Amino acid sequence: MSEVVLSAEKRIETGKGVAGRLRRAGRIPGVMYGAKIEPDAISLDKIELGRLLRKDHSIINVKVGSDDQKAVIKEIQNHPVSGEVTHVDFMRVVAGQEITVSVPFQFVGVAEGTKHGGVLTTLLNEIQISVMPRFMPENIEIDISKLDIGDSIRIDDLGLENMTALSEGNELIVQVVQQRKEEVEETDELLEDTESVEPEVITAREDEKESE
Amino acid sequence: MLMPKRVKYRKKQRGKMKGNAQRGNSIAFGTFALKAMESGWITSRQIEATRIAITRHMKREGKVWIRIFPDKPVTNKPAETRMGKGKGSPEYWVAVVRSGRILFEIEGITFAIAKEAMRLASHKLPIKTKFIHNEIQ
Repeated sequence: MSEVVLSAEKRIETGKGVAGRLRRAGRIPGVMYGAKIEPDAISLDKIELGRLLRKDHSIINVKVGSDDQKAVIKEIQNHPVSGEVTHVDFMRVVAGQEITVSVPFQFVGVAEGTKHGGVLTTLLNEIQISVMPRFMPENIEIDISKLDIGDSIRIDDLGLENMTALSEGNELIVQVVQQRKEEVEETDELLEDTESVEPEVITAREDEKESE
Repeated sequence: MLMPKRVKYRKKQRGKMKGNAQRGNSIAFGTFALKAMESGWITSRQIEATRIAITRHMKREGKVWIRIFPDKPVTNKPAETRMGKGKGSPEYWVAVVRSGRILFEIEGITFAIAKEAMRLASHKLPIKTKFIHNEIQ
């Protein structure tokens, strides 16, 4: 478990006007809650936060003024068009108390099946787990190099230690499927065929239907 | 070509396209995607042409997801008709796309092939688009 430090400032004013001014000034608004303490509205440096999000992290030591608080990132909000981070939620961590977090998967290796014409399909990119803070992983590594066509990895196959998965055990994470050959040029003819067909109108009255 | 099987009403009003896409704005299925940077109507023909362009370049490898559906009918009045006498008849179907919407997703191919496939695809669409990757959204 690695611990990173992030400096934050407490913000007194809240609301979208204040948040907008902060973003224009190169800071990201955020909130810190949990541990049965009143939530704190905070702001973070955009560059420092960006650097943190680009690498793996688990527990973050957030320095709010002179106060040090251990927290995990609970939610990140992104701008729909630019993808920039617009808001971050931090959840305080209390030693000895289980936390619920989502941890990303890291797929290692190249699946054997893809060399034989299979397609690797990822169905889950992260997993919700319940874990003690000291065991919280940065990511969960999955070795996919032995996956042949038709093989798959489910949550039960991970053999998670010191943590509990909150998803169904038989949920698929990754699988290699046989390449489905599409009908060649089926579409060009299809364009003309369906041109004049109109869909069924649910609210059409009986007399309208008859006249059609 | 994509169109609904059943509809509640035959004709719809044009509507407005204010703001950004509040849903469908992040990659959900694949690894690479094409994101709309402008708002606009995408016709079912354009969606089909884009899909063909992508699958042809991918040489039918990998998997493609279409994240938009044309559920809005567009009506036209016949040529040389006097104004009035009611709304025209439905001619084609469009998907209302707001900026930020993920249009297509692909998986199971290399970065270079995906990027080129999406470049070719973007030429079939009437709006500005951007190629994005699962990790660098």
